[in-house]
Parts: sequence; C-alpha cells; structure tokens
Amino acid sequence: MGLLHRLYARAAPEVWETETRLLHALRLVRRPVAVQWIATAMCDLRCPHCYSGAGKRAEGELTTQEAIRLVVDELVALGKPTFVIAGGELLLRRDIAEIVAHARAQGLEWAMHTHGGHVPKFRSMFERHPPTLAAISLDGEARQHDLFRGRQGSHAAALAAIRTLKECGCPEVVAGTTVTRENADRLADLFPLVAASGADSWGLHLFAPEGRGAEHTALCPTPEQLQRVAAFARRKRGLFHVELCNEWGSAGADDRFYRDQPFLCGAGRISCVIGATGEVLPCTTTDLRESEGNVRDRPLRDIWTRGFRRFRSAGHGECSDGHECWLQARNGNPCREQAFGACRKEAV
Amino acid sequence: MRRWWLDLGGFAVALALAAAVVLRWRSGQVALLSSTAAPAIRLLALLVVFVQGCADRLRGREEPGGQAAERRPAAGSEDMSDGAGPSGQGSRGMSKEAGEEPGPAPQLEADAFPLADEAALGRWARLVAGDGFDAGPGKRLALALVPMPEATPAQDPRWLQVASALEALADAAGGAEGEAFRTRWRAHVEIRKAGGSETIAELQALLTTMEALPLLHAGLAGYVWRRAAPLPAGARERAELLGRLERHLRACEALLKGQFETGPIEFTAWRSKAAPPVGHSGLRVPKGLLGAARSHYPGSDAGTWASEATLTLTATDGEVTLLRAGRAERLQPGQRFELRRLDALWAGRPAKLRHDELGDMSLGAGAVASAWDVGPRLTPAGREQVRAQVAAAQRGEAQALERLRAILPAAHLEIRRALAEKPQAPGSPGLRTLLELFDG
Repeated sequence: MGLLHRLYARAAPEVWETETRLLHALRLVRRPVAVQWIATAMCDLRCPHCYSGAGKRAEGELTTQEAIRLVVDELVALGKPTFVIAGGELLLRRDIAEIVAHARAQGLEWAMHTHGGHVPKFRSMFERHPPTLAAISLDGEARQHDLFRGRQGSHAAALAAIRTLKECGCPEVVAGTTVTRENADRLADLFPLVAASGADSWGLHLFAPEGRGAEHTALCPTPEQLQRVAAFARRKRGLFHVELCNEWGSAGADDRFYRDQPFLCGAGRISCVIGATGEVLPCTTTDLRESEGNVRDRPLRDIWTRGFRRFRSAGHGECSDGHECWLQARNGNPCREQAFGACRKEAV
Repeated sequence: MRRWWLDLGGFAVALALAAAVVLRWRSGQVALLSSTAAPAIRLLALLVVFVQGCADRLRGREEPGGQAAERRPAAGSEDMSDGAGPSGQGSRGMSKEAGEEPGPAPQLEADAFPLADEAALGRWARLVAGDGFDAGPGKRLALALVPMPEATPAQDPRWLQVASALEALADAAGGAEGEAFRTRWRAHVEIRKAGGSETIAELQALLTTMEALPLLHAGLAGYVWRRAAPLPAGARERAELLGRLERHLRACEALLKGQFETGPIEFTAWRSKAAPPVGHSGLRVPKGLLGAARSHYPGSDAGTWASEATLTLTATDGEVTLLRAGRAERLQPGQRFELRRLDALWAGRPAKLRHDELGDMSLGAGAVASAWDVGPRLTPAGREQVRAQVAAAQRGEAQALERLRAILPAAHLEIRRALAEKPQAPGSPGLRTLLELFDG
C-alpha cells in the first residue's frame, strides 16, 4: 500500500484522469466512497449562509421505511460507502436513531453534520453507534456565532456537542467553520477556541450562494480575505489539524501545505447527495435541475451507475475538471485562483 | 498439460471480459466497477502514467528544450519543488561580487539535511507524529506554547499545559538529549513566567537542544524566531541564528514534501494481548521518506518564511549588506530586494534604504536591522503613513487591512501597539489575524 500511495500521490491527478479514461473505455463506473443524505429540511436555527435554506420540513420527505429501503439498503448494495447524514438538522428527525441503528446493523460506517444543539439528547445513540466522523458547525466566538445562528447559547451548545461526541468515542470530531466575509478576519480569535474545544481538526469551508445563502451574497468573502485565510490556515497546520475543505478548489502542487490529500472534487465521481425528498444530486446543491433521478422512482444503484455522465469523462467541461470545486464553479465563484493564485506567485 | 489448461482458462476469461465490454459498448450500458477489479484498474492506470512519464523524460532528454524542459516551472508557476531553492532565493534580485566578503558573514556548518539516517528519521517521527488519539508531543508543545501571549502571569493555568507538554516531549525523546532539552526549555518557560527576557545565545541553545533530539518543527522554530526578533544582537550573531532557522525551516518543508510523495507517517494501535516489544511506537514511517526529503532539501526554501510578509526595498547607496541564509552580500546602489523575516541588514557606515510608498529609512553606522525593526527606522512621515493605515484598519476598513498586509514588516509594531490600546475595536480581530501572518 505504501508503494501504491507513493506512486499515486506523486501523480495523483494524472492517475485519476488515466483511470477515468480507462473506466470510460471499459464502460465501468466507480463505486461511491461517500453518499450524503439530507435527512430533513427541518432546522431550528436560521443561519444566513445555509446552503439548503433549512427551516420547515420539506413536503414529501422520505419516510422511515423509505430511508431504510431506498437509501440504507441501496448503499449496502453499492459497496457500503460512508453514509453521511446531514440536513437541515438531522437530529430533529424522530426516527434518526432507528435509521442509524439499521445502517450500523448492515455494517455501514456513518458520519454526520450537525449544529450540535441536540447532541446531548441522543447521547445513548452516539454511545451505541459512534459516527466515524462528526462535523459540528462553529462560525466564530460566542457572540458572533450566536448572532449569526440567531440563537443565544448555540455556541456553548456546539462546544458541548464536541465534548459529548468525543466522550462517546467518535474518532474524529471536526469543528467546521464556513468562511464568510464576516468571520474571515476573525479566525485568529477563533483558533484558540477550536484548539481547546477537544475537536480533532478544524475544517474551513467556503460560503456558497445557494439556498438561503443566495439571499445573502454579501457574505461571500473577498479575494483578499480568501488569500489571508489560506495563508493563515497554512501557518496553523503546524500547530493543529487545519484543513481547507473542497470548496477552496485545488492549490496545485501547493495542496500539500493546505490539506492532507491532494484535492479531488468528488461530485458525481466518488460521492453524491440524496436530498430530503429523494432527489439524487451530485453535491450539496438544492437546485433540482441538477437531479439525476429520485430514489422513489429508480434504485440508487441505477441512478449512480447510469447518471452523472458529465462528471465521469475526463477532459471536457467544468464537470470533469478536477481542479475546481464543482459547486463553486457552477455558482460562478471559483475560488482557486482567488485564494491561492497570489500565494503561489509569491511562493515560487 | 496442466499449464495448457491454465492458459486456455486465462484466454477464456479474457475473452469473456472483452465480450462483456463489447456488449456494453454496443448496448450503451455501463456497469459498476467491482471491488476486486478496482485495484487492477488503479494499477493499470499507474502503469500507464509511469510509462508516459518515462516516455516524456526520454523525449525531454533527446530534444533539448523538449516537453520535459517546457514543463519545468518558471518563476511564478505552481511547483515549488524545482527551482526556487535557497541559493535561488538568495540571489534573486541581487548581484554578487565574486570573491568579495562584504560583511559579518556568520559561521555556519555545512548545509546538509539534518536527519542523518533512518534511525534519526524514526526519532523525529516519534516526536511529531500523532498516535491516532493525540497529536505528537512536538505539536502539543507547539500548540501550548506558541499562542501563549506575552506577559502571561505565572498563575495562568495554561502554563500547566505547557509544562505537561514539555515533560511529555522530553520523556518521549529520552536519553541525554531529552534531558538537555528538558533543562533548557524548562529554564526558558520559567524566564517567561517570571516576565524576564532571554539572550540570543540562550535562544540559540533552545534551537540546538531541539535539533539534537531531533525535533524539526516549523511552529517551534517560528517561536524561537519570534522570541529572538526583538532582542538586541550583533550582526554575526543575528545572522547565525537566522541562518540556522532558515535551514531548520527548509528541512521541515523538505519533510512535508517528502511525505506528500511517500505517504504520511501512520499509526497502528497494538492489537495483540501480549505486551508490545520494547521501543514499539506503532508508527510506520513510509519507506523512502528519508531519500525523498533529502532530495527535496537542496531545492526547498523556508516556505512562507521565504515568500510572505516581505518588504520590497531599494538600497540607495552601497553601504548595506544583506545577511541571508548564512551568506553576506553587499547591495548595490539602486538595487531592489525583498527583505524577508529571516534576513538581517548590516550597515558599516550610515546608510539609507527606500520603500516605494513609505519613503526612506535610515541605518546608523554599525546598525543591524531586520524585518522586525524596520518600521521605527522610517522617517516621521513614513511612520505617520503606517499609523494612519493601522488606525483605518482598526476602524474596520477592509482596504487598509490589505494595504497593511503588503507592508507587514514595517507595520507590525504599530499594529501591536494599536491592539494593546484597543483590543476590542471593530477591526482588531482582523489585525490579530494579520499579525499571525507575520509571527508564524
């Protein structure tokens, strides 16, 4: 494996493209590595940057039996990718413990994204079935986080959730910060809080003008802020596990300074998203025009195998460009050059 | 006989696979890649890339200026691993006078990669790599010590974390080197708790005990720089410490690049009921990491220390010597250069430097200047300009923050003063974030 890693990491993009061409020629499709399920559109917070515009339950959300049969069982048939549950706020679904228990009984690894406010209520579930990875949103210091999230005490709840999940045996708890124009220049104040929170790593996401975010485009960080945040993250990696998430796009050869593995946009290639109503999307967009089908109409296996064709042929269009985050590029907001362009110019 | 059947079987399987592919092509169908076939496809892709790479290299060798030559990154392109080494950095924008030794060049040992063998690499890995539950002891010490604010009272509980991390690191290192490290760093922590100040020689000793372990860690090296920067020092002494730090940081960069190539250091928990063998750490250092890091070292620079938080200056007369990476180079009148945080300037006689926006700055006879203290050397008008920009940034003006980023060495002291005065001003968090780009 060491040799494979060495060979692969040395020329990861080339290997990926060659492998894609080979698979294309052989009419084969990769199995997904992770499938995210938007368990519900319900959320008790009203964050302005929410990509899913979460709030009320969506009409026609998957029922418990549908979630088990059309999502969990299909994932087992797809080779047991990591089952990522997100929302909305997944812990507002009353049947979440049942679905998680079923997934675990089938041998699926599971992970989740949550704002953390309801984690203590589900302590027994986490103790029985600790997720392999849990991401807790943390947008700033207490005052800023609570203001942004619209609820007093949500910052304290997020920190408590991190501690609870660690106590329950979750091997990797990530503090996730969506970088916006408002908090980009406050990361130095947030760093000590994250480092002392008990989280294993700090994932820096980027604001996307999707969902409720589309109504708050002024939250999009400026190119200068992106550069400063990238430079900040690079320095802090020596002290703590800080990672620039996929929305940042590729930094080319400089990826090694910002993340553990070379950048790869997994949309439709190694991952996909099942919406709350069963629509299968390449990534966390809520735009149903991007849907490849609904799990109520066709099995997920079939949608995965026959859909997402534009993502799977090397060499044409933005969808097959492994250097950008597809979602950001789709929104006309490619961040790679903005964030790393100047850093790279200075660095060589 | 048996072999004949095997061949026939293999042929039949290959034929069946080819037929399946042809049928899929004809019907326009696709199939899921099975988990058994996936590694085979990955291997095939690796092989294709490897062969393509060999062909490209051969073509590049045969045709001067061929593809391989074209792919070599030019200045401003992506790959830092080729080209911009310390010597390249050192001479960028600077002319050398052959045979001239214009200033107090420090006495540094030969520039060799500091980890001599696999055993040293293993010792380093134990100090920096995590065990799946905790970060490595080196990282823990850095995380506890580096963000500790100046003048933190001795009763602050964070000092307990520093002490605990320090003891854990010294214990993990063990031996006489571990004890020497413990003694030196304990003394340093006590000095800090008491609010005292060290000397450059003491900080050199901290670095020496670190490197003897061997603990190569960019965060801790940056910490030593940060402690040393405000201290008074002679040109040779300053240049020697900065030269050593530069090599330390280059080695860290080389190890990082090496790991990206060979794969990271991995930890596997001991799963047997029997006790693990003596000295078992569970860490797997990838084969070839030492070779990869060694090969990267000559071409590596000091990372962000070489490229960011710099100040572009012009030497107005020929009296200034730039001390960089253990070498001394006399700057020619009118010569532009980037002053980096790991550089020192020495003036034998009174001299002037110019910044395009901030104007002149002066160096007295025998003065030693660095990125830390160029700000106060500006003329009153230049200092006022910096002060105005810091005030604007502290009011929350985004443009001012970016302008300050371009002149961080000249502005950081003013930023610190402003932050001490108004830590809660609207723009103060932005200034604190900006300062991190200078201090780390």
